[in-house]
Amino acid sequence: MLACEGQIGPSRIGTESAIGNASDAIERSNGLASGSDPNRNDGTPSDDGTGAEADGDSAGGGAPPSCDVPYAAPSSLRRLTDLQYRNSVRDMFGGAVVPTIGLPESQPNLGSTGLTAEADANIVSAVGAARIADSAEEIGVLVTAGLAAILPCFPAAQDSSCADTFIDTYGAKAFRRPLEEEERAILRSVYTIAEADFSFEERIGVVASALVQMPQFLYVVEAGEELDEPNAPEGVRRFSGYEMASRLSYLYWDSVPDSALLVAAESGELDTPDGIEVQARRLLDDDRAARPLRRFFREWLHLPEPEEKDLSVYPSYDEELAHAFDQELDSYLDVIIQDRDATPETLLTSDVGNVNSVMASFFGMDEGVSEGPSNWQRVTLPPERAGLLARPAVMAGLAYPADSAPIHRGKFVLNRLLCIELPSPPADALARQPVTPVGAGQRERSAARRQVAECAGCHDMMDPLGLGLEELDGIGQYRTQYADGSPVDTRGAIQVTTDVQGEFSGVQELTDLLSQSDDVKQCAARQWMRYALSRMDTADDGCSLTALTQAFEDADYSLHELFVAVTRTDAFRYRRLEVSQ
Amino acid sequence: MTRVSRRMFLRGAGTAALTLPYLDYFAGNARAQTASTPKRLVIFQHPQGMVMDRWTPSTTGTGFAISDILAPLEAHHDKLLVLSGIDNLVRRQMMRGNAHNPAARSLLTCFPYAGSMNADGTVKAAGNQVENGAAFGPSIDQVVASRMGNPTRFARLDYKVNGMGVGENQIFWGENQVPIEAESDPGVAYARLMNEIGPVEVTEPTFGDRIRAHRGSVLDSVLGGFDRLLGRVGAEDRSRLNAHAMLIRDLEQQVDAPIIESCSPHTLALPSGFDFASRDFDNTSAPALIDNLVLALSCDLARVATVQFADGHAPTFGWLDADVPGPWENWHDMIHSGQNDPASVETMVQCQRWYTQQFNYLLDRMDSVVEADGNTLLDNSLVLWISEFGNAGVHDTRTLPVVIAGGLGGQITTGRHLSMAGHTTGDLYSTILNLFGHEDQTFGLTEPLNGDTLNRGPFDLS
Repeated sequence: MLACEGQIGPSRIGTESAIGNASDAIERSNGLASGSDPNRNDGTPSDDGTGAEADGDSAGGGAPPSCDVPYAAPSSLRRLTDLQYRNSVRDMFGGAVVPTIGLPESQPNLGSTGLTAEADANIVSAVGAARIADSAEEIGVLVTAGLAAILPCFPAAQDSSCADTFIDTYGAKAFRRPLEEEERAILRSVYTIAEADFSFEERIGVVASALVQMPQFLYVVEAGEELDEPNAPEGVRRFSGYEMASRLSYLYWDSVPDSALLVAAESGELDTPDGIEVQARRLLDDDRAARPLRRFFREWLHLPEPEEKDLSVYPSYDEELAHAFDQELDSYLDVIIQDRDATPETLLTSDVGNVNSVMASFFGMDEGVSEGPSNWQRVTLPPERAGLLARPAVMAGLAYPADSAPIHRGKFVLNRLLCIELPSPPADALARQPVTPVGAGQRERSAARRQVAECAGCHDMMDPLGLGLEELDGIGQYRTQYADGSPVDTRGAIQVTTDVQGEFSGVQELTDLLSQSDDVKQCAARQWMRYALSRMDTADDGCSLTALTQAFEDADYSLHELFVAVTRTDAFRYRRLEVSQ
Repeated sequence: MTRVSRRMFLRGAGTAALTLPYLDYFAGNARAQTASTPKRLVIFQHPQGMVMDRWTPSTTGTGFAISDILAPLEAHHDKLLVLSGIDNLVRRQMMRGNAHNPAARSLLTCFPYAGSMNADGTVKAAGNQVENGAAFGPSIDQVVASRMGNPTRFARLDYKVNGMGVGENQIFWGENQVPIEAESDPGVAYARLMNEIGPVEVTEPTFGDRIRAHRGSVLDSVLGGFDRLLGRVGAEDRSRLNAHAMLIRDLEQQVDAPIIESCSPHTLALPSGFDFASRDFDNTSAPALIDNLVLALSCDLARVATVQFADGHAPTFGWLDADVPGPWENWHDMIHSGQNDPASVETMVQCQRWYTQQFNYLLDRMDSVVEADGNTLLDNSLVLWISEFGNAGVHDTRTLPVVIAGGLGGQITTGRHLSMAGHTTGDLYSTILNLFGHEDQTFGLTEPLNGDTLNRGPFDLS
């Protein structure tokens, strides 16, 4: 990857490679884009280091002929995440079985999407394979123990027909579709083989342990169906009704479909965008949607795990405070999630928050908040504490143990909020780092860095942005001067070609700038699409992203409508098989 | 608390997996562990080397990438020290006889045959050497054991998988050129230990214990589910599923270690018809003998122990879906003649991974024993896995496959692969002696016939 050279615009929707020569598509793309910079719709050249992860167009097949035919990027078979697995087991058995072992944690690619549900974040290792078996055996034991509540024919019947009932009922829940005869036979043989050594209810437990190890349960299998449209591009397939049911339930619930969703799948309701939308709205209205949506915001932001802080610099920082920061961010996000009218602007500027006594005192709020870390109450936040960027969890996360981290903060705004892909630093970046005198301030160090040609490309973009947030220290406390008594300079600038290019001073002015930005809104749409697809968007998804952004705009940038609208896009409804060479 | 050792389940072709009968189960009867935790040496040896390019990790240093053959050890990655490139050069002092005897005799002793040595400790000229015989000196395990004095009931315990003669694979030697004999009957070995430990309480296994014991059979069915799915997905997804299925096959071969406290006797559970002398039961003998070895160490009945796969000639690996011996006469011929036959190489890799699985079981068991100091038995031990050949196809005793596991009480920095090219087995053993508190700078023969440098001195593993 090359260093940042010159200016890099946000990764654009409707890039040239995505839309080919279809002039109407270019027009749509241009029409959608806001702002006045003529460079902004050039798309992202493939050699500028941006979107290297989004290199889907090299996977064969090339660009769609036009946005009138269904098209999508290839996707990979993905294993359930630990969370999805636990939820699935819990919901399959109506809450009677709650696994404690679970699956190995996902290994999200923090340099790319940061999504826990992405296929590559959930590759099974040898340790993982053993964990899957351990967990399955635990589930078997729990099923046996709770069998009376799980299997209506038990204990009255303890025969193979009652076992078949278990296999058909829970097989369909686990595989999110009716069992095929051969699959039924495999599970029956598990029951039969166990006959010698186990009682009836134990045998059902053994069958359950096999069921939850079957790849048809552990993986979201999406073979798709042939299209009947004659003009369909080669290799493009539509997700079947049952596959769509799983897509929807794992998107909104991180769990298996409920029976209403499976009925909708069987009836063909999920073969049309309107039918999908009806179910999408139903799932979103359910309480179970709250946690996955919080996961969306968390993974979108993908804040680093807060580092250990240097207690000689931040003596007030302790585990209680760190935990309160984390919960405060979640509760802030929950308010956004519950607000049907919330927009990206709400996310960036909201002054509705929740505090416990720890956070109230951290914010310097003297209103009566009950003591105790678990007593949270809804408050209007002080003006300087409104908005996403002023969240202590965000600012403390984007900081070093003993200092703020302007670079990380600048990169966060560019990469997460404006969807600008920045290349990794060169391998020898640390070695090239200029030496600055001991005690040099952030601005001095930044200036030295930006003297080095190889560093300047990116740091000219990141540093001025992050330096404008210097009024918040390494644990997100406001400050007016540094430890040595020198005053904090809050002047910052966005020096990237976006619709919010310009100067600002401090976190609230930056918040105001970003909240008016169409680029931020388009970035929100792109991030949600990645989340919904559990993969990086590629040029092949260009038409879908254009359509989604349009729908978002038409809905006055309602996040709730964005959450629904993605399910109507080609990228959500179709996949393309890799073209075998 | 019930403790069950899950033993091998044989994967039958289309038939129910053979589960071993569970007899009775012993509850913990842990003897009070002494406050100081002793250091132990375990040597694990398998014959006929490795397919070295599939054994050697592709990267060195911390966080090395585990290799094809070592893959079953992934869970213990951070407790491993892989040492590649160590040479046994003493074998080059032994000019006569077949290639196997000298490799085995010199492997752990670093000496030629006794009959090839002069009274002054130098090697006889080639023409005056004998073709076979006892090793001139004791093996490293014996040196460590005898310098310990006699702190435990048994000075050392030695087990061998497979009852057939050790013969040319005799690698363990005592003082005065006496071969160390090993026990191959798990029942006899177990009874000998239990005789020292005394009676223990018996409890029933729980359903959890039994469903775990039934794992092999369930996994067999799960693989049927993979087979069904494989035909329906694209090439990339297929390779994902295949990789997962391969790990499940490894898991089927693994025996699972129970969590045990120090000195908690397990139950010896052997299938009916078990015959330790038959090659067909190596897959049952190995974990059973390893269970005994771990019991002896955890009860401090011995501090030096060895386990050896004695049969390098014609093991059948019948419990694997492996084509042994393929087009060759036996395993030995396959190793020597199959080097350029890709199918044979794949079979060798598959069988050598089985040795890895047995080593992994040893580590699982040792790592599940928590000792008085809070470390596991593995942490307090040095476990050496070695073979007499590197590339056995050409009888090469250079670049041996050497793995050390455990930190010997924090003295060894594990989780690494080090390239030790230029170092010898003598250096490895003087290193081990230093780790056990001695100051030896050499081990075994120091005056070679030819110009080989047999000892460069101990190396630093901290």
